[in-house]
Amino acid sequence: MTAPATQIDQPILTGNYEVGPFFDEMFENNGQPRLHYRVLYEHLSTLTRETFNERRRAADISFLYQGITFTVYGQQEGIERIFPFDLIPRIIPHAEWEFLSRGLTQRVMALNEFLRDVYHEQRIVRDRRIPAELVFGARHFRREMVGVDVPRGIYAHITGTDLVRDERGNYYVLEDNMRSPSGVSYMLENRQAMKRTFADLFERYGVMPIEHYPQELLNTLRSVAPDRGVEPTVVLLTPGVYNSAYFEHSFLARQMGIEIVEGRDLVVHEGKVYTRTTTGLRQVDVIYRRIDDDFLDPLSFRQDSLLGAPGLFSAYLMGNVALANAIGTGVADDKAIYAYVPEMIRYYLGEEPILNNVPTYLAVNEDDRRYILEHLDKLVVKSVNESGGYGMLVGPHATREEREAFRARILAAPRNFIAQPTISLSRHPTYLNDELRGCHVDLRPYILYGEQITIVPGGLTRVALRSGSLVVNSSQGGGSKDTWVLYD
Amino acid sequence: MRLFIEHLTTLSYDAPINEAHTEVRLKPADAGGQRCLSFKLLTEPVKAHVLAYIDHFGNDVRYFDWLQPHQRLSIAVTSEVLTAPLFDPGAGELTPLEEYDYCHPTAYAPADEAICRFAGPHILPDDPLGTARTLSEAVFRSIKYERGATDVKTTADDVIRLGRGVCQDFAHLLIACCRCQGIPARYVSGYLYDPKFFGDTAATHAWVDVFIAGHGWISLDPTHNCEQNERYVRVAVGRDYADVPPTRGVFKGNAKETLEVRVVIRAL
Repeated sequence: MTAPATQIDQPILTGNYEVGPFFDEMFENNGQPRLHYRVLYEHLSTLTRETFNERRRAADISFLYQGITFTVYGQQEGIERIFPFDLIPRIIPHAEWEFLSRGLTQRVMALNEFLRDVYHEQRIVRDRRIPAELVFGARHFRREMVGVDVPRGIYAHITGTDLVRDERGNYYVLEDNMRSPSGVSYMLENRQAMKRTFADLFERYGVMPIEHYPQELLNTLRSVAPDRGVEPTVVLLTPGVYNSAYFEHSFLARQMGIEIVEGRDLVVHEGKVYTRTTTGLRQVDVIYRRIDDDFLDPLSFRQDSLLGAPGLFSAYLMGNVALANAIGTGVADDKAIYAYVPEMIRYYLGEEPILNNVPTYLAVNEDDRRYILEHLDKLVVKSVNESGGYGMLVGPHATREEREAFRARILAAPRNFIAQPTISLSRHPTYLNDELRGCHVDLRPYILYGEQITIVPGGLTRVALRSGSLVVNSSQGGGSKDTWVLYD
Repeated sequence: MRLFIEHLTTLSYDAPINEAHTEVRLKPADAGGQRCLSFKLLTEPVKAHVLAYIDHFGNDVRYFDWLQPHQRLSIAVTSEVLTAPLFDPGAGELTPLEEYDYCHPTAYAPADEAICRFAGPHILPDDPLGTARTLSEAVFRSIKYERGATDVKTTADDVIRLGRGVCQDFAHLLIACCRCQGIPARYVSGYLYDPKFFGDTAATHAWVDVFIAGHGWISLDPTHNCEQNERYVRVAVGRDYADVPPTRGVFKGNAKETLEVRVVIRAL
């Protein structure tokens, strides 16, 4: 409901806020603010709509000026939008973050071990802990990488892991994005916007910094550079200005002080990669690539690709250039392989998983498939190779026709689908139509793996801005919030 | 048998091209009892700096680039090889990936009804080796060797329909039949020494390895209905032809490519 004009001096946090049957990040079930939110709560209680809207406008304008937009695919025309930003920060207590951080570190280490194993001895398959069919039949499994040693044995230099909380507040890992996870530029920009708009709040809260992320990323990239006795040259390889994440590519390149290149700017000669500069060719040591494996090298992968550089794979095999992430990491973010991550943690690390997986049914298994088809109205069905919220069915919110269409797709290609129970994602007060409402959120921390594993505190909190929607992806009408991890 | 092989590939373009990158799989393998005694690769008119790596099937790959504009490139390969009187089946186990790859259908060797119908009458229960041999003979008897009836894109089910083909087609059909019976099978590219053929591409050949538990690899040639012998020179193996083309390249420029190949093979 839009508030009448006479009520602009009303506080934005009124008695009307409903916690609902969900875990609310800010409020207990009885409506009392949680301890770590109390200062923010008091602040919001004094803030009128008028003041709040003023601050919001200021923040919006600064985003627009910086060109922070993204593209929505699947619409009639390419649409550039401002990524909606919500000014109410999400706050995570220190101990809770410590727990998450340990869990994420454990997970990324196990996934990296898995990648090293499936591209070498394939022990986990020999020991029948993961079916061979699932690994070798994965669309992003790269047989060309078998037997190839990558620098420091690290495959997943950058991982974006999506975390959600159920109605009791328990954290779950929803997926591990190990190809080219995006969104980190929003995390950094959100913090900038918040510091400008709510400087007063930062003074009252001890918020752990995240501004060093670009430096940490650069350190990670440099740590895998081949040693040729000179300062390594790192470049960011983008598919180009029409890519939905182009803003992020140019933003990160600028922040790291590295060159942003397209495939046509690179040339491979005698097993080495060079970038064309105005003064001639300069050898490249590390490529932070935001292009899928398929498109990296038309000589070795998709022959029709114009995005990559011919010969790049040979240069990579010879160890003359490092790629981040390594080629072939996609097999680890396959949604059917996801079901086996807890098993990987036990198998490679001999530990129990710290973070929970969401129970997952694999349509490729007959029993699971029967269960999925009988419960299409209750489950979330996901296509194993898609990301960004595409190719997904949210059973309880779908129409009969949509469910039937998915039934046919599952039966036609069971390996391509998994299903999970619908998780009632936690909610967070979010400013919608002049008042605070509970909107569903998730959290994507970015895990860097170089000389050691580094996670800047927090990550990107995405929020579903469509009423009742559980889909938080930016491409599906989601927005984001700043995420504050508090000092102890 | 000691064989000397000259393999000359000429790539011509009807307009200048540049930034050409080429991969070559032409080095005789050190496998199955065969030894490559010498190998030389020279490019003309410019001597490219040639690099080498081993692909995940164990094949030797030579790679080079030529960035400057050009309209012709020739690749002259000479090798000397000592073949084995009998193919050595090798060690007794497949890796999990080989087991998967050599049992699953591919674009050239699909697993459809036509393949299963063709293979059906030749299956010997509980005898994979016998089945593979019978299938090889069935392919030999059913398909007529004929040049020009098929092309580089022809798949195993096309071959059944056409009833004609060349060695590549015979090999793909046998591979498809074995795989649909759960027998791991792989494509072998190489040469066949036959003094009757001389001076053209007739000496390049393709045949099939099948893996039989307890035996190892058995090498069958469905084009000639025999097993690999000392007149065969193995070069590369893969799931099908797509994994082992003798040359593969990309270039920049709007031009039509013409490929010319001449192979000479002599007994020493």
